[in-house]
Amino acid sequence: MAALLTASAAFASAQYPTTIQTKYSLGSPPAQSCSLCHTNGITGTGTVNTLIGTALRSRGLVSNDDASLNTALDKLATDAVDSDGDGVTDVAELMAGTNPNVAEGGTDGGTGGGTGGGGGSTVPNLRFGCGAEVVPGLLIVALLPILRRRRR
Amino acid sequence: MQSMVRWFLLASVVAAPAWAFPWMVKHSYGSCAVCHVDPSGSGQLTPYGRAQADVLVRFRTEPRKDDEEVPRSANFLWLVELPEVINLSGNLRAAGLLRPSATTAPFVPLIMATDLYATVNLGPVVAHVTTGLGYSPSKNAAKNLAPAAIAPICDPAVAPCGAQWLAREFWVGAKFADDAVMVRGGRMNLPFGLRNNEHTSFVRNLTRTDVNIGQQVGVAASYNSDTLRGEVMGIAGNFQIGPDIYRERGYSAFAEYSLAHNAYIGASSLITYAGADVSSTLPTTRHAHGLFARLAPTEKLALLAEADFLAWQSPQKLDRLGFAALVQADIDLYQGIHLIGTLEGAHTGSGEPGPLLGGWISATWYFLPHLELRIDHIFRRNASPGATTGAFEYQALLQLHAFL
Repeated sequence: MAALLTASAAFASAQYPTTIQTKYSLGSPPAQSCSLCHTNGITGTGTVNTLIGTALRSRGLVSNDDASLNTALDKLATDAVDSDGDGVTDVAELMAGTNPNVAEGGTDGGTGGGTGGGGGSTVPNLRFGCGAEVVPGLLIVALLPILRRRRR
Repeated sequence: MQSMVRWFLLASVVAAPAWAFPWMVKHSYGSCAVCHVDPSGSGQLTPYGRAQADVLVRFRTEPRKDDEEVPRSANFLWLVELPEVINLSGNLRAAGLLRPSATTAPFVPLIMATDLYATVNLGPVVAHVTTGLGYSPSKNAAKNLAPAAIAPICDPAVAPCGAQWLAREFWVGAKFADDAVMVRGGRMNLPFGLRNNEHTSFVRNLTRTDVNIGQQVGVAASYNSDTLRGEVMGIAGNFQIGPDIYRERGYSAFAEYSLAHNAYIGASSLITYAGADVSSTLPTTRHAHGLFARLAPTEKLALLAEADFLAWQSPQKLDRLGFAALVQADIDLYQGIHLIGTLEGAHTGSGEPGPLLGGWISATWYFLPHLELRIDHIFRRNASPGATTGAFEYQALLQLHAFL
C-alpha cells in the first residue's frame, strides 16, 4: 500500500525544465531542475511548494500540462512576482539563470520566520538516515548512569 | 541469479504495518493493549494476541471447539515457545502493484516489509525494538521509507537512498495500575485516530500518523480500561531525519470511549511545529483534529469512520485548510476471509483543482497460521498540482504477508 505514493512518479512533469528552457531561449534548463518547484527536488503529490512553485500553482499550473506552465509563467511576468524579495523578478531570474527561490546576496530563507523566503534552497536539504548520528548519542546518555554505578 | 538481482533492484522496499485490526471490535475487543505490545495497537502481538490471532483471525473450515487448545503453530516461527521475559516476532510482506494506465512500470514488484520485532518484559518494565532493511530505488521512493532509516545518511535531492537499515520503533516503558497505565519514552507511533492497516489512506498520510513512517521520538502516557482508552504523547521529533530544522515538535493524542461493547467513539488532536516542513520547507505549525468511531452492528460486520480537520500555518501567510475522511466496512464472509470496502476523501488546501477521492474494494484471506493473502482494488483521484490532473486511476495490489 505504501507503494501507492511512489506511483505518482509516473505523473511527474519531467519536461517542465525543458519547457522553461525553450520559452526563454536558455542555453540549458534551469540548474535547479526539479527542485526549482519541488521541495528538495522530490516530485509527487503536494511537493510543488517552493516559492516559485507556489506562485506558479496559484496562477494555474497543473502537472504534465505545458500550456498551464506557459500561462502561469506569463502571469508571473505580468504580476512582476519577486518570490525571494531580492528585487529581481522570478522570470528575470529564470532568464538570468539565478535561483528565484533564493535572494541574491543571501537573505533569511524563511528559517527565521521572516517574510522573505522559505521554500528555497537556503533551507538545507532534508537528509534521511540520520539515526546513525543521533542514536549512539542517545544510547550513551541512557547508559551513563549505569556506567557510573559500575565504577563506584 | 541475474533475474533475482533485477527483481531486487526493481523492488521498492516500502514498509507496511503488521497487524492492526480496528475491526476486532466485532469480537468486543475495543482495547488494543491486551493483544499488542504497543498499548494503542498495531505491530507486535503479545503472546495472548498470538493466541487470539489463531482463535479469531485464522481461516477455519470447521468451527472452533470451546475446549480446543491453541496449537503450537501460533508460536514464534510457527513452533518456538519463548519464555515470558522475551517476545520475538517479525513482519514480512511482499506485493505486486498493477497500474494498467501507467506508461512506465505498469507492474511493480514490492518488498514492503522485512521487520523483526523484539520485546523484553521485566516485570512492569517493557523494552521494545523493531528493525529491518529497506531499499529506495528512486528519489521519490525515499519519502515512503527513508524517514524510518537509521543509516546510511542520504540526501534524496542528490541521489536515491538505496539500501538502508531501518528502525521504526524503539522505546522503553513501565506499566502501572494493574497495567492500565503505561508510560513510555523512545520512538513510537503517534497516538491519533484509527490505527488502520491502509497506511496510505488520506487520513493517515495527511495527518502523518501512519505506522509505516510516521513514528517520532517522544514521551507518551496511555490508559486502557473497559470503557476508556487513550494516549497522549509529547513529540520531540524524528531524529532519523535532519537537519534539526525539519523535526516536528508538539503533541499528539487520542481518547476513545466505549458507548457499548460494540460501539466506540473517539477524538484526536495533534499540533506540531517545524522550522521547515518536510514538504514545503516553510516554518509550519501543523494541526490535525478529528473524530473517529468504530461500530459492530453484528459479529460479522465492523464499520469504521474517521474525519479530521487539517491546517497548515506559516509566517509567509501561505496558510492552508483541509480535511481528510475515511469510512470503511469490514465483513467476515467466513472466519478468516474478509471483504473490505473503503471510501475516502481529502483536501489539502486552497488553490487546487479539487478534492482527493478514493475507493477501495479489498479482500483478505488468513489462509494459514501467520499468513495472509490480500488484494486491494484501488480507485483514486489525486487532484493536487504536481500529481495527476484529476483523473481517477485504477491500481491493484496483491500482497502476501507473514508474521513470524
